[in-house]
Amino acid sequence: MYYWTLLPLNALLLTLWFQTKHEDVRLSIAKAVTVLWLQILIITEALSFFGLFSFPLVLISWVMSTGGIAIGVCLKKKPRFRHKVKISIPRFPPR
Amino acid sequence: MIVALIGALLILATTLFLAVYVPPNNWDSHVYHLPRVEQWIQNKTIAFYPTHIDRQLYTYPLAELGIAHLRMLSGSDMLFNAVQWTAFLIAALTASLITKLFKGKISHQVVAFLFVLTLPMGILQATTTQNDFVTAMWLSIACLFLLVSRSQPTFSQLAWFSSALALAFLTKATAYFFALPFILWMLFILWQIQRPALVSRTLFIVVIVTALIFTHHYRNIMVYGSPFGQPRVKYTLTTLHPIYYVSNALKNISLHLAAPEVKKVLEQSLVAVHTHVLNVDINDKETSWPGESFKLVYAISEDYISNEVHFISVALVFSFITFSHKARWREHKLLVLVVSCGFVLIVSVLRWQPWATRLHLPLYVLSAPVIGIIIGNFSRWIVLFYCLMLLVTAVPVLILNEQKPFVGGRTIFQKSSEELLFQARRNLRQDYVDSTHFIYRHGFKTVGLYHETDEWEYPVWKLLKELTHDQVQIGNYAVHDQSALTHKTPLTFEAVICLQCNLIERQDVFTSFPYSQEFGSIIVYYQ
Repeated sequence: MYYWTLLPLNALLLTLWFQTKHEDVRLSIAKAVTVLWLQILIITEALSFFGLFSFPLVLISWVMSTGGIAIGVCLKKKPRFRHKVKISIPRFPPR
Repeated sequence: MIVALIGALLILATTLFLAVYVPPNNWDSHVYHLPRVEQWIQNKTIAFYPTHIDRQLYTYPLAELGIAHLRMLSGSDMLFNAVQWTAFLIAALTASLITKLFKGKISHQVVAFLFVLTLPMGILQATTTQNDFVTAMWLSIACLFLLVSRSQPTFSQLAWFSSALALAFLTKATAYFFALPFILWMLFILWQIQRPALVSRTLFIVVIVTALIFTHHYRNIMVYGSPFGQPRVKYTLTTLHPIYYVSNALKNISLHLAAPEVKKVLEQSLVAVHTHVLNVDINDKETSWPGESFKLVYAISEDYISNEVHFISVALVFSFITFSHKARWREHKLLVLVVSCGFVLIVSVLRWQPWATRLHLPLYVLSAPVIGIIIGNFSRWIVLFYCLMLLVTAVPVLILNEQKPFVGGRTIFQKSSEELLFQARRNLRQDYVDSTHFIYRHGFKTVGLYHETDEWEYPVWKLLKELTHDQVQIGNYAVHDQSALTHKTPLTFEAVICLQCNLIERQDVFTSFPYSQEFGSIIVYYQ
């Protein structure tokens, strides 16, 4: 079962999410790792509270979380199409 | 620098191979790290359960939670060791980034990176399912977030710092010792920069940390009446007499210098210091783990290995920085002070045990940036020599690991996965295999475990679950401590596996089982 690849994929997407031009990639990795483990903690505690800490629900949680982050990354990194508007400045002839 | 980077990559590749190829075979992993993972998955909750090994309950669970997720998503234990290996890599990357924040060049960052990756205890920990390197990683990430936020700590930066701290606490209680000076450093920064908002920002940190660690403490309070549980063994010194703290610290520090050539001399010197200077018995109960008398052991094992080159490097560089008057090293001095305080706290408060060097891993990971800055300032040839020295000292640790040896008569390539599982106690393998096959052949669906000392439970879980394709329920039989209260109705079992049964005096607990079958040290009682 290769479902475990969801975890590194999640971390990779989070790194992309945090990555900016001015930020060192290692800082983004540190933030991504922190969020990944917070997810592990929250998913476990939440499912555990209802006695549902089992394979299918853990898998669904990771699929939803990773999918959500992937959508977020796509929206964040999507190149913005800016319509170039030419502003013509009227030139008045010298008097 | 190319040489150092190639060396670092080779270390990462080798440790990753070992982590994935060899099944978990560490002592503590078999006793409590992994049985609790299996029990959580079987119970579908991380709530406490009746157990003979209280460490499965009261100890912080974070690293094991990661293992549990990998277990469920991969369906096997192949990636269990990868959790610590990932922490190994991330901690090294974090150390190199902290070096950059200290205005270190690429060469300084590479030295710091290599310093972490060549740590003997780090290399060995990276291929186990213990949690010491995960703790070190969280502390290094907390340090990174602190340094990033030091000029203008916003709420979002404080949230990162607090989260990393809370995750460190949730991994291992030893994180408190190293984290305390960092918290004080953060408060000092807030005091300097944002004095009017000091209270609100401190409260913010407290709220985040408490929110994240609350649930585990709540479970401990419900069962043991204390947020930290009620360990059977006292981990810390109970006296306030300073001499005991000095004795304890000296004993702990000596563990890092236990090279075969010097350990005898070091041992004798320490005994002499205790007899003639401190006037304290070196084996005083106050400063010793119960049942353990002071001796230095050199073994390439994740429980014993010493870190001589790294410890001497840290000691020399810390002394140099402390006595240097250069103004540009103000922040380096602060880091040195903070890390030293954490180290002094842990070595003096946590009573000596032969396996303590791994608890001090954060010292090395947090010192790496300062080492990188200072060593990197020397000439190119000295830096190259230092990097080569680090790499050379790492080689025997990589290939002669007692639990996972590459070469020699016990090489991992000539052993089955089952044999590797019992690498530390090879004499027990047949007992475990025979008893679990017996359970499987008789078709028992509910199996209890019984033992009176901390025994290896994980092999029973692994062998039985694999044989029966997860069609067996395993629990603990005849539990009489507080954890028994976590289950309202007594558990009933068709068979009980009694581990190390030859050492158990009270055989009357098995009167409800008319039949028994002996397998060496294990007896299976059944109906």
